[in-house]
Amino acid sequence: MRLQDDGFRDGQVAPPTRNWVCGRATEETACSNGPDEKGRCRVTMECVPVWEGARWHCSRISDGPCEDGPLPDGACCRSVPACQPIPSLLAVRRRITFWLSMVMVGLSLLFLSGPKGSAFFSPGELTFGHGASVEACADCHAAAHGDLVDRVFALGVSGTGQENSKLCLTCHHLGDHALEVHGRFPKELAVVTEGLSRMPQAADVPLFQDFSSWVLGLLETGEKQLACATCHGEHRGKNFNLLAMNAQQCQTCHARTFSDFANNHPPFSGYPYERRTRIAFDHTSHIGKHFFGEFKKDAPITCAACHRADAAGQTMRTGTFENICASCHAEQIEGVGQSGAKGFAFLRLPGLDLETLQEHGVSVGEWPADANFEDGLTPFMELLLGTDSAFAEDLAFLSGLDDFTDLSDATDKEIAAVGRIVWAVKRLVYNLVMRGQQEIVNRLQMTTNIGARKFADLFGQFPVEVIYAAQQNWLPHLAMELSGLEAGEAVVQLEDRDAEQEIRMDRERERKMMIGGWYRQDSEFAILYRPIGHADPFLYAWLDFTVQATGVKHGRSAEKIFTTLANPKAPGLCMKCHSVDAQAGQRKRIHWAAARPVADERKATRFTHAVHFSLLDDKGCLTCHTLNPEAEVMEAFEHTDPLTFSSNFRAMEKTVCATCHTSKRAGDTCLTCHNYHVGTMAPVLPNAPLTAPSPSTKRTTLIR
Amino acid sequence: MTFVSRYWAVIVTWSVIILLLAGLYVASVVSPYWTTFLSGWLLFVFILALLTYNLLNRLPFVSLGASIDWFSFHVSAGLLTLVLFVLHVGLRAPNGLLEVTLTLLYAACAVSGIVGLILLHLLSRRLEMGGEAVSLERIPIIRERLREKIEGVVERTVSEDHSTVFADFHERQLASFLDGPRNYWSHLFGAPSSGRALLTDLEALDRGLEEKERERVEELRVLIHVKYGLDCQQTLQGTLKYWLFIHVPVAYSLLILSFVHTIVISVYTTG
Repeated sequence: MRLQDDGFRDGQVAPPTRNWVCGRATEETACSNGPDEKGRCRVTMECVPVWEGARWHCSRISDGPCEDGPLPDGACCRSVPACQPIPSLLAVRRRITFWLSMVMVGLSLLFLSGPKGSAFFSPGELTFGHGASVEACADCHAAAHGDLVDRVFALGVSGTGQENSKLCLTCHHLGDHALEVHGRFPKELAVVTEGLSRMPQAADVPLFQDFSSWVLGLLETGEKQLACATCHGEHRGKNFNLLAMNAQQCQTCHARTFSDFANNHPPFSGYPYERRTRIAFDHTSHIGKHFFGEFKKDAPITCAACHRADAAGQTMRTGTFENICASCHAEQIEGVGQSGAKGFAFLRLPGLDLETLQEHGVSVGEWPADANFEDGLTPFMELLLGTDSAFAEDLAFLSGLDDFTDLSDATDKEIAAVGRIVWAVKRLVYNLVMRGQQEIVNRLQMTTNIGARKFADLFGQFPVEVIYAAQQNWLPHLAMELSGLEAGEAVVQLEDRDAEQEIRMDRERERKMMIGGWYRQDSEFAILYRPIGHADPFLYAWLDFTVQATGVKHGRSAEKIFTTLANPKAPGLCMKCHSVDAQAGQRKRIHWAAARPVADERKATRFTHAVHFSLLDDKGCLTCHTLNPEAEVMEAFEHTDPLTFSSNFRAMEKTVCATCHTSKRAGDTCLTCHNYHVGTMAPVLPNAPLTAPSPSTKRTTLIR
Repeated sequence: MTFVSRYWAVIVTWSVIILLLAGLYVASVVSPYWTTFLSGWLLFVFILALLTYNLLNRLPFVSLGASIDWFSFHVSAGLLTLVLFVLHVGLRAPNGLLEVTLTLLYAACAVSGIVGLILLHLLSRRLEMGGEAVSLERIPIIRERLREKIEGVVERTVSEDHSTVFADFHERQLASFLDGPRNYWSHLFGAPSSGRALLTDLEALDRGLEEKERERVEELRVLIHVKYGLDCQQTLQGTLKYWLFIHVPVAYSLLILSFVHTIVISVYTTG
């Protein structure tokens, strides 16, 4: 049985692509024309008569020509009631599509321009920390200022990753080069990269990893700054770990890639001994040589006797001098058993060739004939006298003539200069007696920029009374002499005194100063300072002050002071243990303490000692730190370059770590041992303005 | 499309897909942000491309290849967006009204698309096997004609055969069966329906009837069978059209909100 004899082309039913179909489409009476595009029925008559053969003919198709035929005017005689066209399925679908689309457009405009817009288009919750501290989108998004129109127009011209990242940095202090790769200065990073590039590429790097590196190499634009969002994707929920990074992400940028830590991570290079120790100390000799005889009882039994983990368990701290060194070294520092003077000469009358001076008609006035010290002025005196430019010129002139006790070969000019220097010394002594510490302040303030606190450290204990006593003994007519000189009167020389008696007295004075402090020695015409023990404040202040000649006009004098005090055999023995670093581009510095974590410093490699303690067997610390008996440790302290050294311990082997640090055991991701952001990163400090409550507020409070 | 051009089309398509996946892999290695960024843009471009299929259907005078090829592209690209969507969103729940709406719209679009694809695959085959094809728009008219024929047979049994057996059967069961399309769900799933039961009941009448009445039973059985087939065609053809009432509107809404999302992301996220 055939069901459908006619198709769309037969005109009975409108094709499905039309928007309207005949209202009688489900009936046999459906018209062949169908509704127009606006959904209006177009049929009013059963046919449109045709003029043919000088008369009108009916053209009805459905049931054939009608019996009555057209009217005389050519109109159809049979009217048809109009139908009510209905929308086609396609039209209904289009209407639904249109209106649903309009709803979406309307909702979008409503929310985007409304005050609740951020809730509408926020892509997700912030992590807990950010959610608690961020108040508006603009806090983190540089382009989120202004209204919707402003933001749309801002597309492409603002809101770069770096701009957004700068907003991150208002709260997260990540050093001076925060957005540079690893937070390091590009040139510095280039050096590291160049070094790594020379290493051979691991053979078993996964193909995809190689491919990623290759593609990124092609995309390299020379832009060395990375936006924070490159690695830290926000809006992923309160508990999302913003710091999570996998090894592939790190290695994509690296010059040399590898598949895992155990197999082809680059070998450790001297780790963890990056530099010589700050305190000159030879573990091998201490363990093997020094603890014998009476010192045997003081020998440490384990490493823990001297080293303890810090509170965080990260670094191993060295104990204090008092706890671990003093039992053997305290008396050495105090000068017990030391031959020669136990103190530094701060001020000394230099020995003079008085005869030659007299022969050349240079009068130095009263001067002890038995003053015979050959090394001229002390560096402290040079520093104080050097503030006088005339003196400085004379001293420079006499740079090749340090010994004033023999002036036989000196020229007239040199002898005259010696004479002027002697009077300068006498004036200094006189002024120190008369004005005391004020004289020092007056002299040094002219040429240095040291502050009041530093003055106190350097000269706070200066013994005016000792100077006075010395002047009374050595140059008793100094005041008269100086006034006489000014009046043009002749001056006299002091006669010889009882030298043996003076030496005995000097020894007595030094013995009495066994705890340390200032004293004079008449036999040498010197004012000395004996260190009071470890961490002597006078030596500490002068060494720290003079280690850098910067800020002092007469740097040469400062350097001489430092050289004198820094002699490993000098009283105090400071520099026997405390090393001095002088690296290119960095300030010279003395290490007064053993290594300790630098506040807010993040290194590229991190290690937490405490969590590894429970894994150690009987070898304990020696599992990782193996002594190297061949190392010439102390040679590294004969110079000032901390990076040229020989460690007491052999460098660690990677296999020690790789025993446990695999992907299946303790983990071997990059961030297990490395920090991405390196450098010094101070925490964010609150910036609350200090404002006093206004009087009106106070009053109101009181009234209430 | 010739065999050669189809061959090249397949090669180009797979090359593009492999390149896209490789690019996404690289992006995922570098940064989750890059993955989101790249997959997001690709998703937007793909949604735009998918809608071109609908637009091309509206412009039959524009000859840009056979419809079946565009359909194949539409299906392939649509399935690829599933991968892109998962890469873009990850496995996290959507957040914020825009994200939730976008996710729901995408889910509705994808599910309706997959359901439509399955329907197309299954129902087209059944339509091909279902005998004479009629157009969906003509089915009401054909059903009306069938109703008239069946009622004509029943009337003749009363007027000529003087039997009320068929009239009773008509009043009891046939009339409601002929009033409109019946048994939508059983036709859709190809399950036995009440239409079959009607034929069984009709054959049961056959036992106590005269020879002539049995001829009427045969006439009615044929007509009822035709009506049953017609209902099946209406169900299958209608379903193949009605699923688009979800898929198409949702797809356009998805495009609009995707555009809004793109603007918002472009303004706020630059990394």
